[in-house]
Amino acid sequence: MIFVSVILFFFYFSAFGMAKMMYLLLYKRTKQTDSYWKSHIEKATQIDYHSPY
Amino acid sequence: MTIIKIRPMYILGISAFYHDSAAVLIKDGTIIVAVEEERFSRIKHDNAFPFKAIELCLKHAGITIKDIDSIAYYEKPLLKFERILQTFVETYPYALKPFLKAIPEWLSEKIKVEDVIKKKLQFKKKIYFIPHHLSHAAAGYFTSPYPSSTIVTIDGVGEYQTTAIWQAKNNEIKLLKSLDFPHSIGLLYSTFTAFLGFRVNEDEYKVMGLAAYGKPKYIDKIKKIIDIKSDGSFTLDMQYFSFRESFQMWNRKFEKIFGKPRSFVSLRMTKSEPFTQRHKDIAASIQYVTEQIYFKILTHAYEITREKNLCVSGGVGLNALANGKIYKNTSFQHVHIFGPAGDGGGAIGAALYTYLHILQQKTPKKAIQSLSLGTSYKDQDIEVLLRKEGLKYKRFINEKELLETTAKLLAENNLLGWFQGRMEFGPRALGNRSILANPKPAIMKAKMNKIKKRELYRPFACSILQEKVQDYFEIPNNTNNFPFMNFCFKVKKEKRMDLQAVVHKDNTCRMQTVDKNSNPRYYSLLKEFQKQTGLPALMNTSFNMNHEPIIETPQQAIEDFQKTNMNYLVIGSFVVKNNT
Repeated sequence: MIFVSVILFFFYFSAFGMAKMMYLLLYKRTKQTDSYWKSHIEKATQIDYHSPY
Repeated sequence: MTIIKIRPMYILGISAFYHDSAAVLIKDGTIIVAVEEERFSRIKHDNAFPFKAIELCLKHAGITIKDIDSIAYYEKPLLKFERILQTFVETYPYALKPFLKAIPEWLSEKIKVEDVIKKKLQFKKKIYFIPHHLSHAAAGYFTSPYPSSTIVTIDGVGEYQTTAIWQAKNNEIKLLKSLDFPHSIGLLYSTFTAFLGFRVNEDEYKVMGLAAYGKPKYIDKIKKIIDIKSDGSFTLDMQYFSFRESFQMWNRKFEKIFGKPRSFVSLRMTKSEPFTQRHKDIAASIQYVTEQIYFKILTHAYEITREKNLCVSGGVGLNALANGKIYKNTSFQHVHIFGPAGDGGGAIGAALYTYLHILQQKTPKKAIQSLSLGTSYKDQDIEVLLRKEGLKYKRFINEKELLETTAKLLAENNLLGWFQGRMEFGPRALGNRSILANPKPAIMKAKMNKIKKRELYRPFACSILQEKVQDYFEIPNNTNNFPFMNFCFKVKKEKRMDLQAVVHKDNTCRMQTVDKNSNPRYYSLLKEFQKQTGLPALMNTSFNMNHEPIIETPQQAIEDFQKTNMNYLVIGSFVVKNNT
């Protein structure tokens, strides 16, 4: 358990640190808006019901 | 002539790994059994994979896993895991503790749902993964009596979605609009639930009960931490919340606005900090703001669908106080809120959606009026148990006599355990695993509280004959059907003295209408009670002790009966007197 925690600890600070940097580079701040709804009226999402993803 | 026997189609619906794990079995589109894992494991809101519930479903139908045609799972686990990883990136480097806890849990079990189903259940046919909010939407719509409907799903969070508006027609459910994590009414309400010293995902209804004692003085302050648009869409200002990166829902900035949190209530209720007026005002305020957002969302949903029928599903759909005000605050004329609106009901939604939509079976959808979908026990087995326990009992062969005696005992202000027929599915006892009492004398509330060891401020619910509900409650004229106990309505002024034990501080009561077809024995009991007392209603609370799941077996009924001051137990055809 300690071993797993140590591995996860290093993984968190390395991989997630990198991911956070990428996230900050690509992150776009939400613009002022009249509505926060995400609309699906025009374009329906295709769902693959066999996939757990 | 050869007779071709057509094999029925069985679909097993499963929900697991968040809270209220459950299994449901549908046969040719009809729900034949549905049970939650907690009733067997005896862990309230158990989130473990529901092996015991599945076993019961198969046993009930007299089939094995090989007879199941498809399994429907109530969400997409990998998509949910993606959202969790994304949250860890966004909150880096502050989420180390939740990361260390969540990742092993996910990698060892939660992510492998498909493997668990294939290997542990030894299921080799098709598995369908229905998105979380679609499962909720399906549970609402496919159990409703409406051919077409607006559906609104609101909960804490599914994969990404927290709130969604749908339109349903001819077994098609179309997503129109949605809001994503972390912007969630469920999580907002849960933050205040934790802040007031209650448990998240368990005690939200206690905040609802407490709200009646306060004044909504904190509305402006709550609106500082949430931006609400006129169409009901909203965002939480995440600088005040910490549920993404820690085990605590709120942070110091939140405390600067709302003051010190109430200390956490221990399970034994020994260390609970007393409620102050501030706590009550905060509860009233969050209830008020939740209702405001709720009605704005519903109004917006109506504007884009122009559909008079509404189905609500998801955990927030269990907010009975808000539900009772839908008719007054929106343009919807018919409202269906499925009893198990939370994650347990998601298993039903996933299974029905698979059958009716994905597999496109021609069977028309069937409205559900009764949630008596669980286990039941025969009189012979109960009698053996009563003898084994050395209890003195009287058996009534004639049902009329049993009901006359039971109604008389209730009229004499006895508290009575009522164990009949099939166990209910979902969080409410609807007259099969209930503790019943006369709703008229105010003292009955205190007596019931003594047995249930509940907080004194919390109200009790009531069951009422469907045909009499208009006489007692301020409800719309066009409906009298509220079978799942998820609406609170104001009790009419002239009737409040008749229902003193169940009328809450705000003059509302969470009630359930009972009709002859959905629960004949309970209906007949209410009729008999009305004949003897003039009152067509009974106080009805779940048959369990505080912090325990509702009882499942006669053995558990007898144990709880003996542990408490309940006066009588009516179990099957037997009446047992408590001599302790």
